[in-house]
Amino acid sequence: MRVLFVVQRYGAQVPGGAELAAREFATRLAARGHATEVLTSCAVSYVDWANAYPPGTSMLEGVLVHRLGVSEPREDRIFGPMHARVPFGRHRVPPFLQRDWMRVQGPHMPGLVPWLREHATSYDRIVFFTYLYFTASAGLPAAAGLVPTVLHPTAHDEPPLYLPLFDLMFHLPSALAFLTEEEAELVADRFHTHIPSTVTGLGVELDTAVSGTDVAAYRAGVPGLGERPYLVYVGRVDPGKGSVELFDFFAAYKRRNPSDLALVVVGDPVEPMPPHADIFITGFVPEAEKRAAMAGGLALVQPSYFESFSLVLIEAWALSKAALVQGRCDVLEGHARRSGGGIPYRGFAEFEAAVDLLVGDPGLAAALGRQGRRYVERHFDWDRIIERYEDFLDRIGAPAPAVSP
Amino acid sequence: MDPPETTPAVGDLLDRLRARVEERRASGAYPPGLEHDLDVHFRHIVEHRPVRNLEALHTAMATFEEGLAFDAAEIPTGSRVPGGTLLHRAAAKLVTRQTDWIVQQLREFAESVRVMLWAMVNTFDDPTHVHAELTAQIDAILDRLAYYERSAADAPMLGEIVRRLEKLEAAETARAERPEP
Repeated sequence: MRVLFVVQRYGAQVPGGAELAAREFATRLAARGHATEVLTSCAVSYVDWANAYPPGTSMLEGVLVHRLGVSEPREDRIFGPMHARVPFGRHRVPPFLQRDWMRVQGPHMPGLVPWLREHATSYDRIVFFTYLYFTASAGLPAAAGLVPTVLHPTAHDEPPLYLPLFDLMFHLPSALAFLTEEEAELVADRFHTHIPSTVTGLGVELDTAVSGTDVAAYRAGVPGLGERPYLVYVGRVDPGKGSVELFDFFAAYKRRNPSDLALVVVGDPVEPMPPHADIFITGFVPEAEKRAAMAGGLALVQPSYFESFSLVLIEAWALSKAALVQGRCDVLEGHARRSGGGIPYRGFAEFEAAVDLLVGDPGLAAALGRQGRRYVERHFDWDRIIERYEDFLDRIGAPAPAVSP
Repeated sequence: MDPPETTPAVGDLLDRLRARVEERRASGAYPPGLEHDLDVHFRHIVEHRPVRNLEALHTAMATFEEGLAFDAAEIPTGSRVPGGTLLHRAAAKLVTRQTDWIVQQLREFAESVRVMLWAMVNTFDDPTHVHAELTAQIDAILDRLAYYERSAADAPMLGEIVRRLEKLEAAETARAERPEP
């Protein structure tokens, strides 16, 4: 099968859950003999979409990658107020403003639509990742009707999802693919779509997950951490990810419960965070170091309000680590309840009590970690996921009706 | 020998955790304002989630459903007039067939009303409930308006409109943030 993935960013240096998911699916389909290609931007950072990779075609892990240049970098002085007004505004804004917001949201690639119109019919399936960006917003209407298409929305319950701008988009693809049951329910409630869909999930390599986790070396590499017990957060330090709230919660916890418990943050802050004696920010680190950080922690904290899957949570469970998760995010709470591997908390009081439970009962953390690991073994084995995904792509029939530009 | 593995259930853990929070709350372990202040991020997020408050409608529906028990036996037959009660009972017996038929009709009618009302409530309750035709008309008008607003000749006027709009929005924000008297 000849499959094209369309995604906003792609590459070994690109962080981000949806982008990583696209890369995993593309690479694994290629490894199983499918002619897999990717259409993406030259950007690495979603903050400005600056062209970092050269435009053109290259090969990465058996996948042919076509990169198109981004015409306008995202400028925060323009995007910030627009973002505050369009999806986060008090009032509904007219469609032209929503379309302008999408163009500024980016990555704005003028070559995207012509490229798709010219090449779409040479693929058996075209798969779009992430509803939120220009690549799907402009690309899906261009390809729908020409070839069977799949949209992986990676949707969260966030203000942009409610923009009327997206009403048409969710009815265009031949099929929808979700990362969790909760994401499927959210999209069904919001868009009332009746097109075929599946819940794919994401996988982890269970053997790789536990290999090479040198916790002692990791601890030695974080000045001041020593042998202190710690909670670990992995991801972008960004208000939307709940990490700023986690900072506040943890600082309040430490004021009220003095101990040597620390918080290790593995990820880059979008904005500088105030220094705190018990919080260690290590920035973006290589994969093995990230696994070591998780393996050495008492538990992973996943405080995000907006998750469509949370690969990092699955990775922590693969390492048999307990988790504290944001109970106000349906996806995370669903994972915790189904797996029995995490404690969902809602608000500071429950966060404090949950940390107390884990700190006071090391056996509990170990038991939660074991249950998390079993959940991952049952549901997130890559081989099984890719087999199901191939079957899903096979079953998608005729393209959806064409859309006039 | 290793201790037996425990398999904690998340529901039980949450019950323990919430019981502990309640105990602490009752003992005054959380200073006034602490939880509220630390919930600032959540409040910022939920204020953008669409919320519909249909509590009054649901209460009205509950009252309506309580009144659906039609029964001919509930028709009072008591009387202050001597022998009146006997007379009413006899009359009731005489017209039993008719009253039962009327009650049955009432029940059927009420049931169809109940079904219809629930369908309407559920439509309101649907977070994606929209009047598509009105939305389309509003969108078309706003697009047209935007076209006029964007024409170069109107640029000075547009600046003035934007200033007035921002002033109005600021006033609206200030009004919304002031507690009701």
